Amino acid sequence: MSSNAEFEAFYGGAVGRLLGQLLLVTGDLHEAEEVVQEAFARAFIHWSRLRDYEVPEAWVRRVAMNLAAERARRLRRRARAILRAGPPPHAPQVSVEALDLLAALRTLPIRQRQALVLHHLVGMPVEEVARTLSLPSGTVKSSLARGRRALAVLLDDLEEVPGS
Amino acid sequence: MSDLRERFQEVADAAAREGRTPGAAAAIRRARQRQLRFAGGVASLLVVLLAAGALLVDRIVGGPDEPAPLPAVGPPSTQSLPGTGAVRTDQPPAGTPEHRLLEHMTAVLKGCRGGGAPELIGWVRAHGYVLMVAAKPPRPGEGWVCQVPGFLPPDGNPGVGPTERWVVKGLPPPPRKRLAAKGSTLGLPADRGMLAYAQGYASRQAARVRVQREGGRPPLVFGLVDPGDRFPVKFFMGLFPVTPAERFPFKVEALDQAGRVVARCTPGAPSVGDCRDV
Repeated sequence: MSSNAEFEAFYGGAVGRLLGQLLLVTGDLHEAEEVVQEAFARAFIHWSRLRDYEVPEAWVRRVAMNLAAERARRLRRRARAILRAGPPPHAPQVSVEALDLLAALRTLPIRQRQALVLHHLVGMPVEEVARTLSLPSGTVKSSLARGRRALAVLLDDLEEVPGS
Repeated sequence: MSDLRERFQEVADAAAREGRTPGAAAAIRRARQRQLRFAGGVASLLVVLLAAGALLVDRIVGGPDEPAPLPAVGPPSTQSLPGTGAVRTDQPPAGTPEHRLLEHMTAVLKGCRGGGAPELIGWVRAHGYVLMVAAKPPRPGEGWVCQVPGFLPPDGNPGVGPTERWVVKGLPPPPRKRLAAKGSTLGLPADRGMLAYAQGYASRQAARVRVQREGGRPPLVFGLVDPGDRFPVKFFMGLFPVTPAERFPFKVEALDQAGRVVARCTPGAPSVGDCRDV
Protein backbone atom coordinates (compact mmCIF):
# COMPACT_ATOMS: atom_id res chain seq x y z
CA MET A 1 0.00 0.00 0.00
CA SER A 2 1.50 3.37 -1.02
CA SER A 3 2.00 6.13 1.55
CA ASN A 4 -0.77 8.26 0.00
CA ALA A 5 -3.18 5.32 -0.09
CA GLU A 6 -2.41 4.58 3.55
CA PHE A 7 -3.05 8.20 4.46
CA GLU A 8 -6.30 8.22 2.51
CA ALA A 9 -7.48 5.08 4.30
CA PHE A 10 -6.55 6.60 7.65
CA TYR A 11 -8.36 9.83 6.73
CA GLY A 12 -11.49 7.99 5.65
CA GLY A 13 -11.63 6.04 8.88
CA ALA A 14 -11.02 8.92 11.27
CA VAL A 15 -12.47 12.07 9.72
CA GLY A 16 -16.09 11.48 10.79
CA ARG A 17 -15.19 10.76 14.40
CA LEU A 18 -12.94 13.81 14.63
CA LEU A 19 -15.57 16.05 13.03
CA GLY A 20 -18.07 15.01 15.69
CA GLN A 21 -15.63 15.69 18.50
CA LEU A 22 -14.54 19.04 17.10
CA LEU A 23 -18.10 20.19 16.44
CA LEU A 24 -18.77 19.82 20.16
CA VAL A 25 -15.62 21.81 20.94
CA THR A 26 -16.03 24.58 18.36
CA GLY A 27 -19.83 24.73 18.30
CA ASP A 28 -19.82 25.30 14.53
CA LEU A 29 -19.75 22.63 11.87
CA HIS A 30 -17.83 24.75 9.34
CA GLU A 31 -15.25 25.64 11.98
CA ALA A 32 -14.95 21.96 12.90
CA GLU A 33 -14.50 21.02 9.23
CA GLU A 34 -11.76 23.63 8.87
CA VAL A 35 -9.73 22.63 11.92
CA VAL A 36 -10.06 18.92 11.16
CA GLN A 37 -8.96 19.42 7.56
CA GLU A 38 -6.01 21.56 8.67
CA ALA A 39 -5.01 18.95 11.24
CA PHE A 40 -5.08 16.24 8.56
CA ALA A 41 -2.98 18.42 6.24
CA ARG A 42 -0.39 18.74 9.00
CA ALA A 43 -0.62 15.02 9.61
CA PHE A 44 0.21 14.36 5.97
CA ILE A 45 3.37 16.48 6.26
CA HIS A 46 4.50 14.20 9.11
CA TRP A 47 2.92 11.03 7.74
CA SER A 48 6.19 9.14 7.30
CA ARG A 49 6.58 9.31 11.10
CA LEU A 50 2.90 9.20 12.10
CA ARG A 51 2.14 6.08 10.10
CA ASP A 52 4.19 4.09 12.60
CA TYR A 53 2.27 5.44 15.59
CA GLU A 54 -0.06 3.07 17.34
CA VAL A 55 -2.91 5.60 17.15
CA PRO A 56 -2.15 8.38 14.63
CA GLU A 57 -5.70 9.63 15.17
CA ALA A 58 -4.69 10.79 18.65
CA TRP A 59 -2.01 13.03 17.09
CA VAL A 60 -4.52 14.54 14.65
CA ARG A 61 -7.05 15.03 17.45
CA ARG A 62 -4.50 16.82 19.57
CA VAL A 63 -3.50 19.12 16.70
CA ALA A 64 -7.17 19.82 15.90
CA MET A 65 -7.91 20.59 19.58
CA ASN A 66 -4.95 23.00 19.70
CA LEU A 67 -6.07 24.66 16.47
CA ALA A 68 -9.59 25.04 17.83
CA ALA A 69 -8.27 26.67 21.01
CA GLU A 70 -5.94 28.93 19.01
CA ARG A 71 -8.77 30.04 16.71
CA ALA A 72 -11.10 30.60 19.66
CA ARG A 73 -8.50 32.86 21.30
CA ARG A 74 -7.99 34.75 18.03
CA LEU A 75 -11.73 35.19 17.59
CA ARG A 76 -12.09 36.45 21.14
CA ARG A 77 -9.56 39.15 20.42
CA ARG A 78 -11.58 40.35 17.44
CA ALA A 79 -14.57 42.66 17.63
CA ARG A 80 -16.82 40.80 20.04
CA ALA A 81 -19.90 42.69 18.95
CA ILE A 82 -19.53 41.47 15.40
CA LEU A 83 -19.08 37.90 16.43
CA ARG A 84 -22.04 38.07 18.75
CA ALA A 85 -24.27 39.63 16.14
CA GLY A 86 -22.81 37.96 13.07
CA PRO A 87 -24.24 34.98 11.28
CA PRO A 88 -25.19 32.16 13.66
CA PRO A 89 -23.06 29.04 13.94
CA HIS A 90 -23.75 26.24 11.50
CA ALA A 91 -25.09 23.14 13.23
CA PRO A 92 -26.08 19.80 11.72
CA GLN A 93 -29.66 18.56 11.78
CA VAL A 94 -30.14 17.19 15.27
CA SER A 95 -32.83 17.11 17.95
CA VAL A 96 -33.81 20.22 19.87
CA GLU A 97 -32.09 18.76 22.95
CA ALA A 98 -28.85 18.31 21.04
CA LEU A 99 -29.06 21.87 19.70
CA ASP A 100 -29.56 23.08 23.27
CA LEU A 101 -26.48 21.12 24.27
CA LEU A 102 -24.43 22.75 21.50
CA ALA A 103 -25.66 26.19 22.52
CA ALA A 104 -24.87 25.47 26.17
CA LEU A 105 -21.39 24.17 25.31
CA ARG A 106 -20.62 27.35 23.37
CA THR A 107 -20.99 29.35 26.58
CA LEU A 108 -18.23 27.37 28.32
CA PRO A 109 -14.52 28.21 28.09
CA ILE A 110 -12.85 26.17 25.35
CA ARG A 111 -10.69 24.21 27.82
CA GLN A 112 -13.81 22.99 29.63
CA ARG A 113 -15.41 21.97 26.33
CA GLN A 114 -12.26 20.10 25.30
CA ALA A 115 -12.04 18.31 28.64
CA LEU A 116 -15.72 17.32 28.56
CA VAL A 117 -15.52 15.99 25.01
CA LEU A 118 -12.29 14.06 25.52
CA HIS A 119 -13.47 12.56 28.79
CA HIS A 120 -17.16 11.92 28.14
CA LEU A 121 -17.23 11.30 24.39
CA VAL A 122 -13.80 9.94 23.53
CA GLY A 123 -13.70 8.11 26.86
CA MET A 124 -10.23 9.21 27.92
CA PRO A 125 -9.26 8.96 31.60
CA VAL A 126 -8.40 12.26 33.27
CA GLU A 127 -4.65 11.64 33.00
CA GLU A 128 -4.86 11.12 29.25
CA VAL A 129 -7.00 14.24 28.84
CA ALA A 130 -4.33 16.11 30.78
CA ARG A 131 -1.59 14.80 28.49
CA THR A 132 -3.60 15.64 25.36
CA LEU A 133 -4.30 19.20 26.49
CA SER A 134 -0.89 19.69 28.14
CA LEU A 135 -2.57 20.58 31.43
CA PRO A 136 -2.09 19.32 35.00
CA SER A 137 -4.54 16.57 36.02
CA GLY A 138 -5.96 18.81 38.75
CA THR A 139 -6.82 21.48 36.21
CA VAL A 140 -8.58 18.91 34.05
CA LYS A 141 -10.54 17.60 37.03
CA SER A 142 -11.69 21.08 37.98
CA SER A 143 -12.50 21.90 34.32
CA LEU A 144 -14.63 18.77 34.12
CA ALA A 145 -16.42 19.56 37.37
CA ARG A 146 -17.09 23.18 36.40
CA GLY A 147 -18.17 22.21 32.91
CA ARG A 148 -20.59 19.57 34.15
CA ARG A 149 -22.00 21.94 36.73
CA ALA A 150 -22.50 24.67 34.13
CA LEU A 151 -24.15 22.27 31.71
CA ALA A 152 -26.45 20.96 34.44
CA VAL A 153 -27.59 24.52 35.15
CA LEU A 154 -27.98 25.42 31.48
CA LEU A 155 -29.70 22.16 30.56
CA ASP A 156 -32.07 21.68 33.45
CA ASP A 157 -33.10 18.23 32.23
CA LEU A 158 -29.51 17.01 32.43
CA GLU A 159 -28.86 15.22 35.67
CA GLU A 160 -25.67 16.37 37.37
CA VAL A 161 -23.73 13.44 38.70
CA PRO A 162 -20.13 13.37 39.79
CA GLY A 163 -17.77 12.29 37.02
CA SER A 164 -14.84 10.03 37.40
CA MET B 1 -22.92 10.83 33.16
CA SER B 2 -24.34 8.58 30.49
CA ASP B 3 -27.00 11.13 29.51
CA LEU B 4 -24.28 13.61 28.59
CA ARG B 5 -22.37 10.98 26.69
CA GLU B 6 -25.48 10.03 24.72
CA ARG B 7 -26.15 13.64 23.83
CA PHE B 8 -22.54 14.18 22.82
CA GLN B 9 -22.76 11.07 20.69
CA GLU B 10 -25.93 12.26 18.95
CA VAL B 11 -24.29 15.55 17.95
CA ALA B 12 -21.06 13.80 16.95
CA ASP B 13 -22.93 11.28 14.81
CA ALA B 14 -24.82 14.08 13.06
CA ALA B 15 -21.55 15.92 12.36
CA ALA B 16 -20.00 12.76 10.95
CA ARG B 17 -23.07 12.33 8.76
CA GLU B 18 -23.39 15.90 7.53
CA GLY B 19 -19.85 17.24 7.76
CA ARG B 20 -18.33 17.97 4.37
CA THR B 21 -14.58 17.94 4.49
CA PRO B 22 -13.10 18.11 1.02
CA GLY B 23 -11.44 14.72 1.38
CA ALA B 24 -8.00 13.22 1.85
CA ALA B 25 -6.79 14.41 -1.55
CA ALA B 26 -7.56 18.01 -0.56
CA ALA B 27 -5.67 17.57 2.72
CA ILE B 28 -2.69 16.24 0.77
CA ARG B 29 -2.88 19.21 -1.65
CA ARG B 30 -3.06 21.63 1.27
CA ALA B 31 -0.05 19.98 2.88
CA ARG B 32 1.94 20.17 -0.34
CA GLN B 33 0.99 23.82 -0.89
CA ARG B 34 2.20 24.57 2.64
CA GLN B 35 5.50 22.81 1.96
CA LEU B 36 5.86 24.77 -1.29
CA ARG B 37 5.02 28.03 0.46
CA PHE B 38 7.61 27.27 3.11
CA ALA B 39 10.21 26.58 0.44
CA GLY B 40 9.11 29.73 -1.39
CA GLY B 41 9.31 31.72 1.83
CA VAL B 42 12.88 30.60 2.43
CA ALA B 43 13.75 31.50 -1.16
CA SER B 44 12.01 34.88 -0.82
CA LEU B 45 13.89 35.57 2.38
CA LEU B 46 17.16 34.88 0.58
CA VAL B 47 16.13 37.20 -2.26
CA VAL B 48 15.17 39.93 0.22
CA LEU B 49 18.47 39.56 2.03
CA LEU B 50 20.37 39.75 -1.26
CA ALA B 51 18.32 42.79 -2.36
CA ALA B 52 18.88 44.49 0.99
CA GLY B 53 22.59 43.85 0.63
CA ALA B 54 22.57 45.28 -2.88
CA LEU B 55 20.60 48.34 -1.71
CA LEU B 56 23.05 48.90 1.10
CA VAL B 57 25.94 48.79 -1.35
CA ASP B 58 24.02 51.16 -3.66
CA ARG B 59 23.45 53.63 -0.77
CA ILE B 60 27.08 53.47 0.18
CA VAL B 61 28.18 54.34 -3.35
CA GLY B 62 25.45 57.04 -3.63
CA GLY B 63 23.02 55.51 -6.18
CA PRO B 64 19.65 57.25 -6.86
CA ASP B 65 16.34 56.14 -5.23
CA GLU B 66 13.62 54.92 -7.63
CA PRO B 67 10.06 55.72 -6.45
CA ALA B 68 7.93 52.60 -6.05
CA PRO B 69 4.83 52.47 -8.31
CA LEU B 70 1.50 52.85 -6.53
CA PRO B 71 -1.02 50.02 -6.90
CA ALA B 72 -3.71 50.69 -9.49
CA VAL B 73 -7.24 51.09 -8.17
CA GLY B 74 -10.34 50.81 -10.37
CA PRO B 75 -13.01 53.50 -10.32
CA PRO B 76 -15.72 53.08 -7.67
CA SER B 77 -19.07 51.79 -8.75
CA THR B 78 -21.88 54.32 -8.88
CA GLN B 79 -24.52 51.97 -7.42
CA SER B 80 -25.15 54.30 -4.53
CA LEU B 81 -28.16 53.80 -2.31
CA PRO B 82 -29.22 56.29 0.33
CA GLY B 83 -28.25 55.13 3.79
CA THR B 84 -26.81 51.80 2.75
CA GLY B 85 -23.38 52.75 1.47
CA ALA B 86 -22.16 52.76 -2.12
CA VAL B 87 -21.30 49.32 -3.45
CA ARG B 88 -17.82 49.16 -4.91
CA THR B 89 -16.70 46.30 -7.08
CA ASP B 90 -13.07 47.33 -7.56
CA GLN B 91 -10.29 45.43 -5.84
CA PRO B 92 -9.20 47.15 -2.65
CA PRO B 93 -5.61 48.43 -2.85
CA ALA B 94 -2.92 46.00 -1.71
CA GLY B 95 -1.77 46.53 1.83
CA THR B 96 -5.06 48.02 3.04
CA PRO B 97 -7.22 46.37 5.74
CA GLU B 98 -9.87 45.82 3.05
CA HIS B 99 -7.36 43.88 0.95
CA ARG B 100 -6.37 41.77 3.93
CA LEU B 101 -10.05 41.08 4.59
CA LEU B 102 -10.47 39.95 0.98
CA GLU B 103 -7.44 37.66 1.28
CA HIS B 104 -8.90 36.17 4.44
CA MET B 105 -12.27 35.65 2.75
CA THR B 106 -10.62 34.07 -0.28
CA ALA B 107 -8.87 31.60 1.99
CA VAL B 108 -12.17 30.79 3.71
CA LEU B 109 -13.92 30.35 0.36
CA LYS B 110 -11.30 27.87 -0.78
CA GLY B 111 -12.59 25.61 1.97
CA CYS B 112 -16.02 25.53 0.35
CA ARG B 113 -16.49 22.52 -1.86
CA GLY B 114 -16.79 23.07 -5.59
CA GLY B 115 -16.96 26.28 -7.55
CA GLY B 116 -14.39 28.15 -9.59
CA ALA B 117 -11.81 30.61 -8.35
CA PRO B 118 -12.99 32.96 -5.57
CA GLU B 119 -14.08 36.39 -6.79
CA LEU B 120 -14.76 39.67 -5.08
CA ILE B 121 -18.43 40.52 -5.58
CA GLY B 122 -18.43 43.92 -3.94
CA TRP B 123 -17.98 45.91 -0.77
CA VAL B 124 -19.66 48.79 0.98
CA ARG B 125 -18.41 51.17 3.61
CA ALA B 126 -20.86 52.92 5.90
CA HIS B 127 -20.67 54.29 9.42
CA GLY B 128 -17.09 53.13 9.79
CA TYR B 129 -17.87 49.49 8.93
CA VAL B 130 -17.01 47.64 5.75
CA LEU B 131 -19.16 44.75 4.54
CA MET B 132 -17.57 42.71 1.77
CA VAL B 133 -18.92 39.75 -0.20
CA ALA B 134 -16.89 37.21 -2.14
CA ALA B 135 -18.15 34.12 -3.94
CA LYS B 136 -17.15 31.28 -6.22
CA PRO B 137 -19.05 30.75 -9.47
CA PRO B 138 -20.60 27.27 -9.56
CA ARG B 139 -19.19 24.79 -12.00
CA PRO B 140 -21.50 22.95 -14.38
CA GLY B 141 -23.75 20.56 -12.50
CA GLU B 142 -23.21 22.24 -9.12
CA GLY B 143 -26.47 23.29 -7.51
CA TRP B 144 -25.03 25.73 -4.99
CA VAL B 145 -23.15 28.99 -4.68
CA CYS B 146 -20.25 29.29 -2.26
CA GLN B 147 -20.28 32.81 -0.88
CA VAL B 148 -18.99 34.48 2.24
CA PRO B 149 -19.61 37.87 3.85
CA GLY B 150 -16.75 39.59 5.64
CA PHE B 151 -16.86 42.48 8.08
CA LEU B 152 -14.29 45.12 8.88
CA PRO B 153 -15.21 47.09 11.97
CA PRO B 154 -13.88 50.58 12.67
CA ASP B 155 -10.92 49.15 14.59
CA GLY B 156 -9.79 47.24 11.50
CA ASN B 157 -9.95 43.65 12.77
CA PRO B 158 -11.55 41.49 10.10
CA GLY B 159 -14.25 38.99 10.95
CA VAL B 160 -15.36 36.60 8.28
CA GLY B 161 -18.63 34.75 8.45
CA PRO B 162 -18.81 31.03 7.86
CA THR B 163 -18.69 29.92 4.26
CA GLU B 164 -22.09 29.01 3.03
CA ARG B 165 -23.34 26.78 0.34
CA TRP B 166 -26.54 28.49 -0.55
CA VAL B 167 -28.37 26.12 -2.72
CA VAL B 168 -29.56 27.33 -6.07
CA LYS B 169 -31.88 24.55 -7.04
CA GLY B 170 -32.65 23.37 -10.49
CA LEU B 171 -29.68 24.53 -12.54
CA PRO B 172 -30.00 24.99 -15.47
CA PRO B 173 -32.07 27.06 -15.98
CA PRO B 174 -32.31 29.09 -12.79
CA PRO B 175 -35.85 29.04 -11.41
CA ARG B 176 -37.94 32.14 -11.77
CA LYS B 177 -38.28 33.00 -8.08
CA ARG B 178 -35.14 32.92 -6.05
CA LEU B 179 -33.92 34.88 -3.08
CA ALA B 180 -31.47 34.26 -0.27
CA ALA B 181 -30.70 36.80 2.41
CA LYS B 182 -28.79 37.17 5.64
CA GLY B 183 -28.94 39.94 8.11
CA SER B 184 -28.21 40.87 11.65
CA THR B 185 -27.22 43.80 13.79
CA LEU B 186 -23.72 45.03 14.53
CA GLY B 187 -22.82 47.08 17.59
CA LEU B 188 -20.97 50.31 16.98
CA PRO B 189 -18.15 51.10 19.40
CA ALA B 190 -18.60 53.47 22.32
CA ASP B 191 -22.38 53.01 22.31
CA ARG B 192 -22.77 54.97 19.11
CA GLY B 193 -25.89 52.96 18.31
CA MET B 194 -26.53 49.95 16.15
CA LEU B 195 -25.97 49.11 12.52
CA ALA B 196 -27.67 46.36 10.60
CA TYR B 197 -26.51 44.53 7.56
CA ALA B 198 -28.47 42.74 4.89
CA GLN B 199 -26.73 40.65 2.31
CA GLY B 200 -27.59 37.90 -0.09
CA TYR B 201 -28.49 37.15 -3.65
CA ALA B 202 -31.51 37.11 -5.91
CA SER B 203 -32.27 35.43 -9.21
CA ARG B 204 -31.01 37.14 -12.35
CA GLN B 205 -34.61 38.08 -13.10
CA ALA B 206 -34.68 40.43 -10.08
CA ALA B 207 -33.83 44.08 -10.62
CA ARG B 208 -33.52 45.19 -7.00
CA VAL B 209 -34.14 44.09 -3.45
CA ARG B 210 -36.28 45.86 -0.86
CA VAL B 211 -35.78 45.54 2.89
CA GLN B 212 -39.01 46.13 4.80
CA ARG B 213 -38.39 47.44 8.30
CA GLU B 214 -40.43 47.34 11.44
CA GLY B 215 -42.14 50.26 13.13
CA GLY B 216 -43.28 52.06 10.00
CA ARG B 217 -39.75 53.06 9.01
CA PRO B 218 -39.38 53.54 5.27
CA PRO B 219 -38.10 50.52 3.34
CA LEU B 220 -34.58 50.43 1.97
CA VAL B 221 -33.96 49.53 -1.64
CA PHE B 222 -30.74 47.77 -2.61
CA GLY B 223 -29.38 47.57 -6.11
CA LEU B 224 -28.01 44.25 -7.30
CA VAL B 225 -24.41 43.60 -8.22
CA ASP B 226 -24.25 41.55 -11.39
CA PRO B 227 -20.96 39.65 -11.38
CA GLY B 228 -21.63 38.29 -14.88
CA ASP B 229 -23.04 35.16 -16.42
CA ARG B 230 -20.63 32.93 -14.53
CA PHE B 231 -23.00 33.31 -11.60
CA PRO B 232 -26.66 32.21 -11.78
CA VAL B 233 -27.59 35.02 -9.36
CA LYS B 234 -26.99 38.69 -8.59
CA PHE B 235 -25.85 39.85 -5.17
CA PHE B 236 -26.83 42.63 -2.79
CA MET B 237 -25.27 44.06 0.34
CA GLY B 238 -25.83 47.05 2.56
CA LEU B 239 -25.28 48.56 5.98
CA PHE B 240 -27.79 50.85 7.61
CA PRO B 241 -28.39 52.34 11.08
CA VAL B 242 -31.14 50.88 13.23
CA THR B 243 -32.67 51.87 16.52
CA PRO B 244 -32.20 49.59 19.54
CA ALA B 245 -35.91 48.76 19.39
CA GLU B 246 -35.73 47.85 15.71
CA ARG B 247 -34.65 44.27 15.41
CA PHE B 248 -34.62 41.44 12.98
CA PRO B 249 -36.46 39.80 11.40
CA PHE B 250 -36.71 42.23 8.53
CA LYS B 251 -38.57 41.19 5.45
CA VAL B 252 -36.53 41.06 2.29
CA GLU B 253 -38.24 41.15 -1.11
CA ALA B 254 -36.83 40.72 -4.58
CA LEU B 255 -38.48 42.96 -7.17
CA ASP B 256 -38.43 42.63 -10.93
CA GLN B 257 -38.01 45.51 -13.41
CA ALA B 258 -41.72 46.37 -13.12
CA GLY B 259 -41.51 46.55 -9.31
CA ARG B 260 -43.39 43.29 -8.77
CA VAL B 261 -42.36 41.18 -5.78
CA VAL B 262 -40.97 37.94 -7.19
CA ALA B 263 -39.64 36.47 -3.93
CA ARG B 264 -39.83 37.27 -0.27
CA CYS B 265 -38.07 36.00 2.83
CA THR B 266 -37.30 36.91 6.40
CA PRO B 267 -33.71 36.56 7.57
CA GLY B 268 -33.46 35.25 11.07
CA ALA B 269 -36.67 33.25 11.02
CA PRO B 270 -37.20 30.96 12.74
CA SER B 271 -33.80 30.33 14.29
CA VAL B 272 -31.16 30.75 11.62
CA GLY B 273 -29.76 33.92 10.15
CA ASP B 274 -30.56 33.27 6.54
CA CYS B 275 -33.56 32.54 4.40
CA ARG B 276 -34.22 31.14 1.01
CA ASP B 277 -36.72 31.68 -1.71
CA VAL B 278 -40.41 31.71 -0.87
